[in-house]
Amino acid sequence: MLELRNVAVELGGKPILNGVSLSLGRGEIVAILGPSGSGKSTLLRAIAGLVPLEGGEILWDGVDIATVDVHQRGFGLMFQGYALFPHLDVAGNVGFGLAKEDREASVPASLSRVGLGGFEERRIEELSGGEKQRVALARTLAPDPKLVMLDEPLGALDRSLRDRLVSETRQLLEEREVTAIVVTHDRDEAAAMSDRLAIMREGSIVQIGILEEILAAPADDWVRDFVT
Amino acid sequence: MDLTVGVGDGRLMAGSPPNNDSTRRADHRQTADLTNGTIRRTPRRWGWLLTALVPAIFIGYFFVYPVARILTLGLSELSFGSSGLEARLIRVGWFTVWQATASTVLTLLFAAPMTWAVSRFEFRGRRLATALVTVPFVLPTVVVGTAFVALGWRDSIWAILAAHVFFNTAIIVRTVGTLWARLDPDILGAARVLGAGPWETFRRVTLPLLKPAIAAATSIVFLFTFTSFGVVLIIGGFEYATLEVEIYRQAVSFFDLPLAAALALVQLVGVTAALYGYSRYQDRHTSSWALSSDSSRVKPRGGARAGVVLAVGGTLSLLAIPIGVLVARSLGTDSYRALFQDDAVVGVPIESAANSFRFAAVAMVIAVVIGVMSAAVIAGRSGRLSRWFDLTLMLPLGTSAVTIGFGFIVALGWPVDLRASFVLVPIAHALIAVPFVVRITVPTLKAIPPDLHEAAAVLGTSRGRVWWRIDFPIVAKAALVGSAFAFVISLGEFGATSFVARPATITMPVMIFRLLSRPGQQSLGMAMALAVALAAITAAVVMWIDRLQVGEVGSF
Repeated sequence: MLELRNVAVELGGKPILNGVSLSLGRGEIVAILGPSGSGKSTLLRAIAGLVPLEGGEILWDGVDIATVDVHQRGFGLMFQGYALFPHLDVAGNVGFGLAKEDREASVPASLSRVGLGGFEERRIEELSGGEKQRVALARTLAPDPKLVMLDEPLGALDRSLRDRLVSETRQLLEEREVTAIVVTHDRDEAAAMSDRLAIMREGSIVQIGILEEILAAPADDWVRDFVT
Repeated sequence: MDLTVGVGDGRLMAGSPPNNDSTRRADHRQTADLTNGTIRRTPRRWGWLLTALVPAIFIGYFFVYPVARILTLGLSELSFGSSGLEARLIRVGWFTVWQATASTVLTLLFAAPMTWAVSRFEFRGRRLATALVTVPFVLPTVVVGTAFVALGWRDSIWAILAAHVFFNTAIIVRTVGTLWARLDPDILGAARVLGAGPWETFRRVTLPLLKPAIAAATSIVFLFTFTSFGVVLIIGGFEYATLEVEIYRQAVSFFDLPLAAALALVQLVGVTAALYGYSRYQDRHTSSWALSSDSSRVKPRGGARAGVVLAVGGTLSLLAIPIGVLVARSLGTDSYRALFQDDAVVGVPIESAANSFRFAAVAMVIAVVIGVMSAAVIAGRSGRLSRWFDLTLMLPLGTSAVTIGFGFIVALGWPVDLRASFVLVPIAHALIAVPFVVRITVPTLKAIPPDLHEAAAVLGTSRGRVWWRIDFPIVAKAALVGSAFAFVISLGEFGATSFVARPATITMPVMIFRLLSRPGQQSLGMAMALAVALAAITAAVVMWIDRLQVGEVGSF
């Protein structure tokens, strides 16, 4: 499926990712857990093709996708601030990645799947934080991406809403048997939404496994302090 | 503070940046007032009205009254009708509209590559490139006209259009570029990830998000080219005349004041329409959450790198041609020495510089006094009255300079006959400069946090002392920038001056025009030399303003 080999990225001359390696099986959900500034968001952007690689390779089904343009990768990325299009209504946002003729049928279905049936003509500004999150999720999933990447999907929301959306989001991903990477800085959220955890620190992945394994045998003192 | 200012037809334009932070603060201030109870409100209101009185009288007598006189004169002419009026109106009006439309479209197309380069990419020399593209914009129109004459390009519609593009490119680059550079890169990235290629992303996301800035910049360019005077008068010859030029010809050459008034009336309608379009779009800003706090420029890579080099290099080279040729040709002959010699017809040309400086100094003082008083009035309250006051003050900005000068001639014979007085020159200049001083000062005043006043009041400081210690130092810097703007506006002003200048008090732009109107290489050389001198002075003052970092030249 997806395989990262020694991926390195520099931004403004500073190394952000130093040799990240990771592989995901089909339908697997991996959470990337790390403190802010550890390079999690940059890793997603690198996989999406939004930032150029300084070294290493990204393979999909064993094929290097370095030369494939962002818009031809067929991946989905939900941005941290949702990055909804302010000039389009909810339907315009959700249908953006769809072919014109598919929009009419797919958009209402995508919206009802996230519990926002009938929201088609709402303006983005009128939405609450939770509604924006669902619109962004629906928009990301609508074109049926091969790989879904969610960057702090629940970051900006309050606690009670987060707890509810964690299970909803996981359910949505599992229903579609989609391969997914979820970035978060919250351990419980990471554990609840994913099959495996990858702990990231200063641009490198320091440990991969399920939460219980990591808790039982942390790779080093830093990981132990970070996950407990 | 990213206040935004620029120069138009010998005038400068200012506007607030595309967020309504300052208005929000003003609302906050009013609530603060309310909580302090009504005791403080009553005396403040009287002070407010008194401060409002001086600028109100100034604008009333020197702007509203003359324009009203033009309106009555023009309306009676239109209703009585005169021989050839209709045909002339249609011919001149049509030319004015279509050349303005063509100039605007061409400016948009010409500015597009440069705008793309400076807003999407970070490269060495980006700031310099943006500063250079602004140079033509701050040049007085007479200088631009002379530059195109120096190119040997006269009596041609293409020369007029080229001069307009040359002049207005900065408006597009800086206004649209400012917004484009701040568009949230994630929103553009989201479109890419969802399967849109670069061009589709531009069409479906970037362009709609930039629409408010494009619309605002476009209406300003349209306004400037619609009211274009100096450029058309100089390079249009007898064949091409905008409404503005025709008003001047009818009033000054043929003394047909009613016909000129009728044309001015039509002109006012056109200007009002353009300004209305502008103000409508001003209200519809791009949602602030589509913007990132800092720029999203990236280092150009691969093909983009070549594109940036081509866009920036090409645009700057083309813009450099008229200025380069003007400077080169002015050096060729003994033109500079001739400026100091007595000429039988126009006198010693360089003496016009002394006049210009004197007028600029007086205009600067008037504009700053009136402007700062007005700003205090506008910033002091945020009711409907204050908004109307603000709007009235901005009117001279939208009205053409020619209309202002023409209005003086038509109206100011009462109660004292001012028409022959030299004071009309600096007053006309001040009238045009006041809106700039106001636009620069108001946001500064509104940005003073109200809690600063409250904190000082709680500490027992008197109101006068609070003003002196807190407001004054902040206002002083804005006023300084405002005076510098008023100074360059006055130096380059041509439209109004051409009506009110007397032979003894001729300014540099008027002298340049006179020299250009005379046949002969010698006169042309002198005109070019004087134009270079005027351009150099203007550029020096504008660069000094830019260094003060209070206003940013060129965007709206």
